[in-house]
Amino acid sequence: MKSSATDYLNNTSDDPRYTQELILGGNDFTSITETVSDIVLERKTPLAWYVMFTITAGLTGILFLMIGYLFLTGVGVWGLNNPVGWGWAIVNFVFWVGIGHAGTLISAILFLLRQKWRTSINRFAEAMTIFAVICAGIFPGIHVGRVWVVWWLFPIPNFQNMWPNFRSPLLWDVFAVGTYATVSLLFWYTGMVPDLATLRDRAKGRLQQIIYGVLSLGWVGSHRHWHRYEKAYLILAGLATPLVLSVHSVVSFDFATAQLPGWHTTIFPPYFVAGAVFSGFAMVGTILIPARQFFGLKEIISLHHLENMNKIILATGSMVGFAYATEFFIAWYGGNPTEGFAFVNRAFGPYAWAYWIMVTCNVVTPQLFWFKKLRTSIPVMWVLYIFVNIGMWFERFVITVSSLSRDFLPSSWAYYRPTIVDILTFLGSWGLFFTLVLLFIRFLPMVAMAEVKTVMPIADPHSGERHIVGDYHGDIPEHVRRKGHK
Amino acid sequence: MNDKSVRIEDTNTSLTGLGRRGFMISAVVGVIAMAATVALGAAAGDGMRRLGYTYLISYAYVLSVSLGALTFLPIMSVTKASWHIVIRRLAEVMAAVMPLLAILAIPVILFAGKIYGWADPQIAASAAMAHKAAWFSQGAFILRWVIYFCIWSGYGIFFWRQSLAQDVSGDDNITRRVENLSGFSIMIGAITIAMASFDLLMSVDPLWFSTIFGVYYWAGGFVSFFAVLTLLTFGLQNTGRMTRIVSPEHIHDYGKGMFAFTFFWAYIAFSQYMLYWYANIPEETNWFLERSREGWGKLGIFLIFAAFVLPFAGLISRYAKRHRKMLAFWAVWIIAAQWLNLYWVVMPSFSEKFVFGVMDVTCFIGIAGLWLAAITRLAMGHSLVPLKDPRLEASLRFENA
Repeated sequence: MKSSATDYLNNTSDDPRYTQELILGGNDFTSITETVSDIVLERKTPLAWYVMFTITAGLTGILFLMIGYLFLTGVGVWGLNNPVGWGWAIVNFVFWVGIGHAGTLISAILFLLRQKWRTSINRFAEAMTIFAVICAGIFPGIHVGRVWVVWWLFPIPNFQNMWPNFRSPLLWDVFAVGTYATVSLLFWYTGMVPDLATLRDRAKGRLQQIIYGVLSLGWVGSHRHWHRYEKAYLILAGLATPLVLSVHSVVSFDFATAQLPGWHTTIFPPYFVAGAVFSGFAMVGTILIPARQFFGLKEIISLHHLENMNKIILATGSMVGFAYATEFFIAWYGGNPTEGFAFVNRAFGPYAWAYWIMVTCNVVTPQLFWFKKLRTSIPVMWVLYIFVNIGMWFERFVITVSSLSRDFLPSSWAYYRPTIVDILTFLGSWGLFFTLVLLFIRFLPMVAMAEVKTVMPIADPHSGERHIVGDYHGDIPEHVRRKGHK
Repeated sequence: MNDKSVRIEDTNTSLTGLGRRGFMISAVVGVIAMAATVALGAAAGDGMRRLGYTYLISYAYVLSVSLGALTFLPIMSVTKASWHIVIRRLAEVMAAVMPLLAILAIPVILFAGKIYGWADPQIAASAAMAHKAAWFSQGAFILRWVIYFCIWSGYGIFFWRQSLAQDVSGDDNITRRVENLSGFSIMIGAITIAMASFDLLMSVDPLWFSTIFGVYYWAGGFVSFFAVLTLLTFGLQNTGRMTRIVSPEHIHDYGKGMFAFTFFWAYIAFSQYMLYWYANIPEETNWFLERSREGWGKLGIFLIFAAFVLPFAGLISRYAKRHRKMLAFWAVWIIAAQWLNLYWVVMPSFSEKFVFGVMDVTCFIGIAGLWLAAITRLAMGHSLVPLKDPRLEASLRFENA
């Protein structure tokens, strides 16, 4: 179990004889605990954090200002027109829901597939899932026009006997996203309980002790606790696995059940799911790279982790490209002239610029990840992540707007332009997302300490000559202790 | 559960003593069944039309299993998986058999005039077909099949040969080389399998189209691949081969494969049906309409249970996935259900009323027999396990934890 590479931070060797070591730098249980929990408990909050928090909180303020303005004035403040009745609100909704999917894939599917490398990044990705769903949830709520009856989205028994239309995919969305948010939150929280207990035990401030104490639900790390914890974790992973498919499938139904050319096609559900995972991984990477750099987590979130993520991005990006090609082919094959027009119009019509941004960022540039040199280069991958974020937002824009703006009736065609309110609302949602991420980084364990420890060689009592004893505070023998350790 | 001390030398990894017999029996059964099918087809007195359809169904099914193997291998390779190494050779022969499947495709091309709507002069002359006249010209159709099989055979034989070469040399670079070419094989496989499914099955009704159809065909084949792999493994183990090295841990993964892709197939099938049903556009629902009356609808409802609900419920527990008899039962079940699904996809284009006959069964036995004979022939004279794969040791020690 030794890396054959010379550089101790490079664990991306392809030597099939060896399994890559996931945690580098001779870390042991104690050092993992200290590295992760010190960020929350010991380290002084860096100035940069306050600067960034001020900016993101400011943007969040703008978001709420814009929403207030929208409520007071009406959806006319957006760039919607006839026929483009769905504009940035839906685009942003689908974009943000998609971002969440990396977390669910990592925490559920990769768990079931026993992908040990997931442990270093799952906490982070799951947190982003929840924050992304919060951002996503805002948009359907505010785009309804008459916000005072937004509670009609939910099938609440009422004296008027008014029910939402159960045949509408928009209502299925309420259920799909609602279930998703609930299960993701439970999953995230359940997984965090042992780590919260670690924070509770290490906290020095009374207030911290109380808060982490309450949150850790009386966890003492007994065998019975671990047994139930692992059972619950497995069940939640099993429940969350179909959710990876279902949420974005249902989101795709919003479009695909309609008869509008460019929306109505059967590949939409798996294509949306692949796109969601694609964009989600890119967003996780976008934030993870600065975070690991800044907080000294390079030994825990290693290059091997990032390379694996890039491979998933390459795979899902190619699936998305495959779906684009299939749609185009069948639009021709099916011989429906309006369908054919919708696709030619996408590529060469007034929104061609958006279409080619989408194709470039989603299909072309991720192909660079075929080259090992590029997919293991931090600057290259970070730039490509940004491209994917842009490309996937544009994908939703292209689907929503290009199909609507030129519908069946040429006399009603119109070009859609966002207003400043649209733009500020979207920027504001980024503010909200990053505000939550910053709070998460500051107050919760960024890496799943307990889970990471299980994939370290020293966790295996049968591994070679190592005789490991003790709990997670570990009485680790001196020879495996990191040099210069606190 | 895994026997920690197991070594590859502890088991019989050769087909010697069984191979020739297995090859002869399956070849003879295959030939006799095919002969019976042709006789029954001729007796039907419809100019072999019925025969053409049933041949298409069983051929498409057996091909889908090999295509499942051809996607399984590179996926395992790019993910650097190790659990499957002890059983990889079985998947390799299933994929390397592509040249035989290319030969077996010839009758489909010969029967094309009888089974494919686009070959019907009346349909071909319709306005809706005008733009794809060239696409469905016989030359273009044959050319596409040549391209598909060149690619598939190339990859199938490549995986097989490289693996055999490693048995001799034990060179780790072979693993790397296969890994490097696997990613591309997945991509080109996705495109060719989708296009082939459009040609092979979707174009039976050339006016109908569905973008997800390729995924639908592949998913059915992939779940069937796991089922066939299960039966092959059990068959070999019952004759004292590959015992101990293939442990309940590996068997458990077969079960997971069948369970997961039963669900995935259902998800794809549901997506295809629901979206067309919901939008209710005549040119799209027509295909489902044909498949929902005169007995075909009952078969469709039966399939919801046979291909999804029952195997899903049956395979959900860990116990079932590690229980050999139960797993074998579900493997046979899934093979039957997925074959029946293709029957439901194709046959309503032949007859508005539900039909089923001895010919359908003999034809499946015939093609499956020839296929089994071919993979047995390929496996003879070589080890049943890639002996010098660098990840073999990890595979022997594999545990679901």
